[in-house]
Amino acid sequence: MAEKSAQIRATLNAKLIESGEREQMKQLLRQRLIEYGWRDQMKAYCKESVKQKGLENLTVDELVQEITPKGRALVPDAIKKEMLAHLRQYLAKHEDL
Amino acid sequence: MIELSSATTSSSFPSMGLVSSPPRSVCSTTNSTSSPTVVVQTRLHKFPCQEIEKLKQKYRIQHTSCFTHLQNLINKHRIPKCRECGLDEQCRICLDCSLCLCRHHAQQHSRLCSHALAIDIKRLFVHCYICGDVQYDSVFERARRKIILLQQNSSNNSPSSSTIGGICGLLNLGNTCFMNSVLQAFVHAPVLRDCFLSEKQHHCEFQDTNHTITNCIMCQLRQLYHHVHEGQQRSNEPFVPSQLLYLIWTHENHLAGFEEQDAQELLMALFNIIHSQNSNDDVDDEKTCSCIIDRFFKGALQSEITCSQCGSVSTKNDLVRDISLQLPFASSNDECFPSSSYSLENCLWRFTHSETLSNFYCDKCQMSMSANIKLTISQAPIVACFHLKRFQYVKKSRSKMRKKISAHISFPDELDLTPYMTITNFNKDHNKYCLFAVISHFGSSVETGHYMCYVKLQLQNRWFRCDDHCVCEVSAEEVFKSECYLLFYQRMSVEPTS
Repeated sequence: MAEKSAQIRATLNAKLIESGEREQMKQLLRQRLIEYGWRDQMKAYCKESVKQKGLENLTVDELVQEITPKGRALVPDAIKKEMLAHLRQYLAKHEDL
Repeated sequence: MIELSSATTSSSFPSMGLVSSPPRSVCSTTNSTSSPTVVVQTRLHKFPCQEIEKLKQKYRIQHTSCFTHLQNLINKHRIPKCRECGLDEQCRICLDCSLCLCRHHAQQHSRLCSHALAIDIKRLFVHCYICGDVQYDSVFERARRKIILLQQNSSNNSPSSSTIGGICGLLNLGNTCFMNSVLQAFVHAPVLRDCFLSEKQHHCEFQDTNHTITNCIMCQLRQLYHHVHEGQQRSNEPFVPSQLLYLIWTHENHLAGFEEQDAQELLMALFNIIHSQNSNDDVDDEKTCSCIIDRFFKGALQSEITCSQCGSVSTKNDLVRDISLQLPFASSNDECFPSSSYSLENCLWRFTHSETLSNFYCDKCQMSMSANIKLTISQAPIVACFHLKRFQYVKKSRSKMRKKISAHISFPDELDLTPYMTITNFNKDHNKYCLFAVISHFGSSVETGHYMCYVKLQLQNRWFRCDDHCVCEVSAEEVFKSECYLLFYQRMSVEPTS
């Protein structure tokens, strides 16, 4: 059962990339995250982290590791819903999957 | 939206003066007494990154060549894929050997080959494997911002239609978009078409015995014209204007080099070269010069000064090849216009609006008086070039960066110059002009910005955007919404010229 869903996921992903839809969705997602202020929030959080830890003690990679969980948690539900709806629309249009 | 994430960290870095500071190992504790926090002292361990300095020295990378260098690396790997494993996410390009590798293999590679630096192919930041972190360098940063700006502009491009005749792209030779834009506008001036396309074999009037195709600007322009109009046969390959560039460099030294320059300066330089190579022997009598510049681009401005005391009027006529307009809000004296209505007509109104001169020496009164000065166009050229003064030199910054006024200024498709002309007997219908080219500037300054030229194919009434080698059709809306810098109008219903 899990295998089948993994396979579907892979096929879907390939289809999305091929048709350029994945790139478009990424753009859309970027735009929405800016609109909802998520980016500004993350920027502020980065600044805070840097101030706390000190500039010389931090590499970019460490900073990314630090902020990633918070970033994921802060994504507004509305955006998640919208992206899901977008995917559903895409699936509906390309039923030959 | 340009990602200026690195800008937030750059403000806390020391000024450029420290770039040439002593080598990393010498981190004297003695001069920490003046620094406000301990952080400044320890940061010297990591910044500036010695590896970047070494690389810059090795390849003699400066501001100007860094952009070309990075652009070439990116163009090499249009479809990023790791050489070792084929992964296409988060690839990096080694700055020493230009291999494209994923993060894991890039790290491996840097250890094996002792190549310390790589740039991220998407975000273009520089990663140093010795420092173990992303590093900031002002030269690379400037190049990075410019590339990102260009990428965002060109992401709007649809693949250029290869079946359009009469238009073709110009290859960017290293920050030469300022020249490419001017050439495009020039080539699409309707009135010049006949001059350049009439004969295949050009009998050049260039008097000099040293004449060769390479040093004669008319021959060079003729070559460009023919390429543009025969482009269809060659599936619209972009023209490489290297000889033109060299010609301009040798004649106008101040424009030489691979730095981004001011397009208006280039326009004037181009006019100068054409005029000097094609003017007749009697230089004094400018009225008889038959070069294309004087025939089509030359106009005259009249300045009329009225003494406020005795009322005597002194008139002076100046020949001009373009009209440079101050923006209406540039000085604080201008409260005439609300901020939402900046237009070319406003600028022209301000230009021809009478002003008060406080220290004018009146010959009749024999002393300094206040006077009224009024500028009008006494002779309107066949091709009118308007230059909007968007760039201002900022004195306080150490670099020569020119600050730009980015406000949108609207401009019409058809322009009537009658209200701005000197009142004499003339046929009012002769002052209607039609727009054929717009050079717009994108970005916040000359050095980090980009020029593009919008041209109208007259016969088809369609607008095209010329972004170096990328030419594609665009809506008129995009043209009129852009940040115009140079506007080119041609007089409608041109009389046959002698």
